[in-house]
Amino acid sequence: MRGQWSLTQETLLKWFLATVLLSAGIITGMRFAENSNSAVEPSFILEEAPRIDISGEWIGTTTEDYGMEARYDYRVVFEQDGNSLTGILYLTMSNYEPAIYSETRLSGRVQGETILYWAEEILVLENAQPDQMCLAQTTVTFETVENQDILVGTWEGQPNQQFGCDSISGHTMLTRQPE
Amino acid sequence: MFEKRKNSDKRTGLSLGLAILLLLSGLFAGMQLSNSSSEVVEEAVKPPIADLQITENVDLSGEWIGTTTQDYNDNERYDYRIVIEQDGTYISGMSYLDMIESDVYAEERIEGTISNNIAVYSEVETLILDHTPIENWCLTETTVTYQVLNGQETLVGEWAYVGDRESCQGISGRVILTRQPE
Repeated sequence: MRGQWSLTQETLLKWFLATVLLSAGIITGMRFAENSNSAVEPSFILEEAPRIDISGEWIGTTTEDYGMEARYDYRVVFEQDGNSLTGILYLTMSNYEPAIYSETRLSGRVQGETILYWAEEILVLENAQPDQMCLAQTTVTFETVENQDILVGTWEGQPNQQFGCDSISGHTMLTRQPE
Repeated sequence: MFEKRKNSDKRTGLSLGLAILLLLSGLFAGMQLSNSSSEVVEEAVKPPIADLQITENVDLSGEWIGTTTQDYNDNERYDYRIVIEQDGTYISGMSYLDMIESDVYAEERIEGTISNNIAVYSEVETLILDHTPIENWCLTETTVTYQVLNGQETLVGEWAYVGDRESCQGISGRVILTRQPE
């Protein structure tokens, strides 16, 4: 039987086997590397100690980027415990009268230099009805610019509220008040 | 029927050693390839430096909203809005100041210049001033830095009084603004 194999066939078979082995090795190696890379990240990030402490008073502006494009004088007082945030946010509408005013309890968390916080409960509401209000969740990043601590980002309506709340959004910019 | 291979027979396949060597080479090459491609992805995710350090060509024309503070006495703060028209490096426009804790309101004409990503503008004329006398009002100079932060165009900086009026000496505050979409 072997006598019927030509030299070319043998060479081809060797090259084929070599290619298959090399390809299998490359694919396995890539999968192994991807798995080892992705396995570390989520748990590491979640467990990461906070690099920043945003406790204190922040002032600035937040906008409604829809409808009447209202904007608000915005003040937030954060208390940070590890990665967890609690606090109160104060909103005063600044481009329409009568100005809507609200005070809202918030919760949130710090992850690296990204901060996510969400409204938990409206404590005070003036010049609006509760069913006109949507609870928002805000994502901002911490920056230091010209010696000022800045939080800048966007907000959106939390899901599972009254109709329309999940399609509204705006942007937010805050600077830390000196103590 | 299978025929037992003799040592004198020529091999038709690969030796075990060569096969293992090829497999290990592939593993190593695959891991290197995966790591280098993930580095490329990370590089792509990082914001380009050019986004943060702008540029002679930045055009500040348009409406900017935010907050300005008085960092002295009662530490008042204002809802702050400016509308800028830019012609080359020259900027002009209007500023609108609305004190948060009282009814003080002012509209002022502004003029200034921009160099790279730093704008300096002065309040040159008060056009409207409500609920405070003009004697209490100081025209100031503001210096802000343009940056794109978290995808938003921002102006961040400080203002101060730079004139000769005795009653205005030593006052200053901060400014943060974000561009309003058109």
